Amino acid sequence: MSHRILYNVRKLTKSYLMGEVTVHALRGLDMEIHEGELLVLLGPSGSGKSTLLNLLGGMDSPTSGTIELRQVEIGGLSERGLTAYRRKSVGFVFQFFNLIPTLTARENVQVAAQIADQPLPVDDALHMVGLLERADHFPSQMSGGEQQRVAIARAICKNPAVVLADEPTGALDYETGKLVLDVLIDVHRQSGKTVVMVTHNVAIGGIADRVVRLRSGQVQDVTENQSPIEPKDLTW
Amino acid sequence: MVGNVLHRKLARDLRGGWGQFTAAAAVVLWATVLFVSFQVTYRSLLHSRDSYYRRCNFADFFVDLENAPSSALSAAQSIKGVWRVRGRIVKEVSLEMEGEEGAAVGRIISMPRRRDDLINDIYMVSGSYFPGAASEEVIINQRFAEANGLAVGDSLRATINERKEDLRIVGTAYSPEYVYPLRDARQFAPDDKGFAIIFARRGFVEDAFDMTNDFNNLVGVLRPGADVEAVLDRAKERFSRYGVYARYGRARQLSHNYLEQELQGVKVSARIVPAIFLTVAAVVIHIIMRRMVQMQRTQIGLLRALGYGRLRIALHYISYALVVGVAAAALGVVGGLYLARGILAMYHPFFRFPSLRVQSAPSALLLAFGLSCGMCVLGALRSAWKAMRLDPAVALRPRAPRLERIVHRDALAPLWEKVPLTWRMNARNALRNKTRAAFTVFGVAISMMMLVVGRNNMNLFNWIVKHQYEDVELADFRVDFADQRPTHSILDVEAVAGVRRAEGVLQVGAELRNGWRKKEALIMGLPAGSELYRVCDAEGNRVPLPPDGLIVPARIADALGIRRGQQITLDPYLRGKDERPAVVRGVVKQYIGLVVYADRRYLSRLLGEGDMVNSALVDSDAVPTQQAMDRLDDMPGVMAVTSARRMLQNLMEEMADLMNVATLIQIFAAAIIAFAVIYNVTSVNIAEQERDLAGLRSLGYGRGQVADIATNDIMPLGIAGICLGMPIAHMACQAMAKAYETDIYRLPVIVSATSYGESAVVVMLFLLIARWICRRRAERIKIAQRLKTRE
Repeated sequence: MSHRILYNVRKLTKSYLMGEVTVHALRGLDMEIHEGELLVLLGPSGSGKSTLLNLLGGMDSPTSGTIELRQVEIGGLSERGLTAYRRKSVGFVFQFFNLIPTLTARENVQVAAQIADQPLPVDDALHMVGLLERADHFPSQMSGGEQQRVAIARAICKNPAVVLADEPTGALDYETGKLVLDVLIDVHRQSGKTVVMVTHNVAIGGIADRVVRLRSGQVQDVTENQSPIEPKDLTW
Repeated sequence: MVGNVLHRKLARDLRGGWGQFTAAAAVVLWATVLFVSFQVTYRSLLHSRDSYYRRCNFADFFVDLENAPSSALSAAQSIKGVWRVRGRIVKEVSLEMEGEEGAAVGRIISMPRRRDDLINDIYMVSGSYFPGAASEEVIINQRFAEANGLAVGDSLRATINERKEDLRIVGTAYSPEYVYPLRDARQFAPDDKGFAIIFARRGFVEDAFDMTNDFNNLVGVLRPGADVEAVLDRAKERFSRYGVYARYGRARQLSHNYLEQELQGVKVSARIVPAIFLTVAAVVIHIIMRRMVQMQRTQIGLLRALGYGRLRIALHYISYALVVGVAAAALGVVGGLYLARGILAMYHPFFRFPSLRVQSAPSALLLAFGLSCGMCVLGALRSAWKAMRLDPAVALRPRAPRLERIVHRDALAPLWEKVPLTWRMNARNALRNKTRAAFTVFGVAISMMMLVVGRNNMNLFNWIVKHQYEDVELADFRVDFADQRPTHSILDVEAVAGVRRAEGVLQVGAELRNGWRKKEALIMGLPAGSELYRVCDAEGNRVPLPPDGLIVPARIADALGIRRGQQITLDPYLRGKDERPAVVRGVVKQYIGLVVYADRRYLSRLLGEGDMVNSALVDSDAVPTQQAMDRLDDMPGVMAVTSARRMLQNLMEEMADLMNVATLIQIFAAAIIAFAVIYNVTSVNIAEQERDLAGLRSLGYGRGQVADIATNDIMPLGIAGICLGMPIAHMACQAMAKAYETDIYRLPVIVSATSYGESAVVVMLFLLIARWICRRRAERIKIAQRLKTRE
C-alpha cells in the first residue's frame, strides 16, 4: 500500500541547554508521517517525543537535520516563517488545554479561526466536539474533558494540515480521557486530517494506524496497526 | 543557617524581578529625595533666617513717621511691652547710573557711629563700617552692588534735596530688612539694578535732609509675650502729632512676609508631594508582592510543610519590601541632601542671607528614612498576611480556578460581538483585576495632575505678569515727586522731549477699618479715564472709577468683611489728617499688590485738598526712552523715575532658569510615577497571562501581535487616566491657589487649555515609551516551555 508522505524527517537532532547541562533530546531521528493517518508517538519520559512534536509544530527549531512538510522544508524557517507555518498548517492540542480563561468556548475557537486562511465555521467545530450548547461558557465553568474538547475544536477549526496532540489525556481521569480520545478520532475521521498524538500510555497505541516508539531521541521501532480499536474498548 | 537559605531565596527572587522592584524603588527613592530636599530646604532657610535675624536684631515692629524729634524716642521706649527702640532717618533719593540703565532709586538709611547691639543691624560683606572721616561715605546693599558691578572705592551720584552728591562706597552689606528687597507693595519681585539700599552716617543724612536730631522711622524690639498690635496702637497715639504714615509688625514687613510665604510653600510641598509618591510606592509594592505570593503558593506550602512558622513566612515576604525601602531610602537621603543644596543655590537670586548652608537636620533624615521604609512595608503587609494564613495542605494543591459569570445575551451583545476577540480579552482582564486597572488609571491621573499643576504654575506666573503689564499698568515709567503738587505740574512732565503722554496720580498710604477689622493699603487716585493705568475686573474688563467712592480689591474686602455700598473708615498716613469715612463703590479681583483705587479728584477732596498729584505715569516715544528718563530725573522736585518694563525684564530673566529646573523636576517626577505604575501593572498582567499569550503564539499569532495583545490595555487605561487627571488637576490648582493665597497676591484659578494639552502630550509620550518596554517583555515569552507546564 503506497502512502502520500506528509512529513519527511531526516537526521533530526535537537540539543538544548538546561542550566549548565546540554541535553540531547533528539539524536539523528528519521521518520515519515503519512497523509490522513492517526499516528501515535509512544515513549517513556525523556525519549524526545514532545521535543519532536514541538519541532513538527514549528514551536521550536532543530539543531540539525531536516523536516519537510509536503516537500517544503520547515526546519530552517525564520521566526516569522514559523509563525505563518503554525497559523496555516498546524492545530495543537495540549495536555493542559491552554484555553484562554478570559474568552468563552466559542471565542477560544474564534481566536484561532480568525487568523486561519480557510477556517471551518466555528459552530461546526464546536458541534463536532459536541459542545455547541456550552459555547458561551468560560473555561472555568467547564470540566477538564470539556475544556480539552474545546481545545480540539480550536485545533480543527483552522482546517490545518495536521493536528498535533501532546498527551491530550494526560490531565484527565480514565473515563474522561477515553471520551476525549473518542472525540479526537471522530474529528480525525470526519475531517480526514492527519493526527499525531504523543503519549507515554502504551494502551493508547491501540487506536492508532501506526505507532512509532521512541527511545533516547531515536526511533526504536514502527508498528503498523492492521485493525485499530475504538477508544471505548481501551483499558489501562 | 535556615535564615541564610531564605535570604538566598530573597536575593534570587529580587534578581528575578529586578525590573519591577527597581521601578518600585525608583518611586520610593524619588519620594525620599523630595521629602529630604524639601525638609532640609525648609529647615535651612528657617535656620539661616532666624540666625540672621538674631545676629542683626531684626525689629519686631516698624513705624513710619513724617518727622519726630529724637527726644520723642523715650515715648516709644516707655510703651508697655517694648524692650528697645531705634529712631532712623529713611529717605529715598534718585541715583544716576551709568550705561543704558539710567536712573535708579536709592533708599538711604541712617546708621549710628557705633553698632553695639543695634536694632536692624547690617551684615558687612566687603569693605568696612565707615572707616574714614569723610561724611559722604556709604555702604550699599550687596545685591545692588553685584547687579551694577559696583565695588568698594566706587562712587554713586545721588540727587539729594535737589543737590547732586557723590557718595563713596566703603562697603557692601546685607540687611535683614531686605532679604527680599522690594521698594513697596506694588512691586512683587526685587529690582536689584534699580533699587539700592544705602546705609549712610547719621550726621550726613541729618544734614542732607535738614533733619538734625530728628527721625522718620521707628523700629523696635518687643519683650517676650508682648502684643505687637497693642504696641502699634499705643505708638500711633503717642506719635500722632508727628504724622504716623504706616505702622506694622514684623509679620507685615514686606521682605519678611515674602520669605514667610515661601517658607510655608516649601513646608506644604514637603508634606504633600512625598505623600503622593509614597502612596504610589506602597500600591506598586502591594501589586508586586501579591503576584509573588500567588506564584509562590506551592513554595509557601512546602516551607510550611517543612516546619517554617507563620511569622517567619510573613517576615520573609515583608523583607522584600524592606530591602527595596531601605536601599531606596538610603540613596534617597543622600540624593535629597544634594538636591537641597541645588535648591538652596536657586534661592540665591531671590532671597539673600549672609550664609545659606544645608542644615542636615538628622531628625528630618531619620523621619524620611523611616517613612519611606514604613510605606514599603505597609505595601507588603496584606500579601505577607495572606502568605502567613495559607495552610500547607491547601497551598500545595493547585489553586481553584476563578469563577466567571456567563456572558449575558443582553442588549449590548450585538455591540460586544463587534469587539475584536483580543480586545475582549483585555476588557475582561481589566474587569477581573479592577483594582489593578483602577490603579493604572489613577497613577496616570496623578502623573497628569503633577504635570498640569507644574505647567499651570508657570503659565499662571506669565499670565499674571502679562496681565499686570499689558492690561493694567501701561505706562513706560513712573515719576515720583518729592511732595504733593498741583495737577498742572504734569504739564511740565509732558513738555519733556520724548514724553508722549503723562498722567498725574495721587498715592496715599492708609489704614482701612471696618469695626475691629483693619487693613493697610495704598490708595491710588487716578485721573478719570486713565489711559496708562486701567482698573480691571477678573475677566479683564475695564472698571470705571466712581466719582464718589473707592474700588477695593476682593482680598481687602474679604479681610475687612465689607461689600459694595458699605462705608468704611479711612485713616490716611498723612500728617494732620484724621480718619474719615469713605464708601466702597466696587469690589474687583486683583492678583498682585494691595492697591485701592479712587478717582483722583475724589481722593483729593476726601483728603480735604484741591486736585493734587504726587507722581506721574509716563508713556514715552519708543526710541529715546532713556533720554526722557534722564531728563525727567533732572527735573526739580523729582525723587525717582522707575521703569516697570525693566523690572519685568529682570524678573523674567531670573525666573527663567528656576522655571526650567522646576519643569525638568516635575516632568521627571511625573514620568517616574507613570512608568512605575504602568510597568508594574503590565508586568504582572503579562506574567499572569503568559500561558495565554504562549497559547496564542502556538495558534500562529506573531510575536508582535501577541505583544500588542499583552499591552493593548495600556493606552485606553492611560487615556482614561489622562481624562481623570484633568478634573483632579483642576481641583489641585484650585487648592493650590487657595493654599498660596496671601496678603500679597492671589492666584487666579485659570487652568489654560495649553497646560492640559501640553501635559496630555507628555503623558502620552510616557505611555508610548512604557508600552514599548512592556512589549519587549511580552515578546520574550517562550512558547514551548510555557505550554508544557501546569498552571
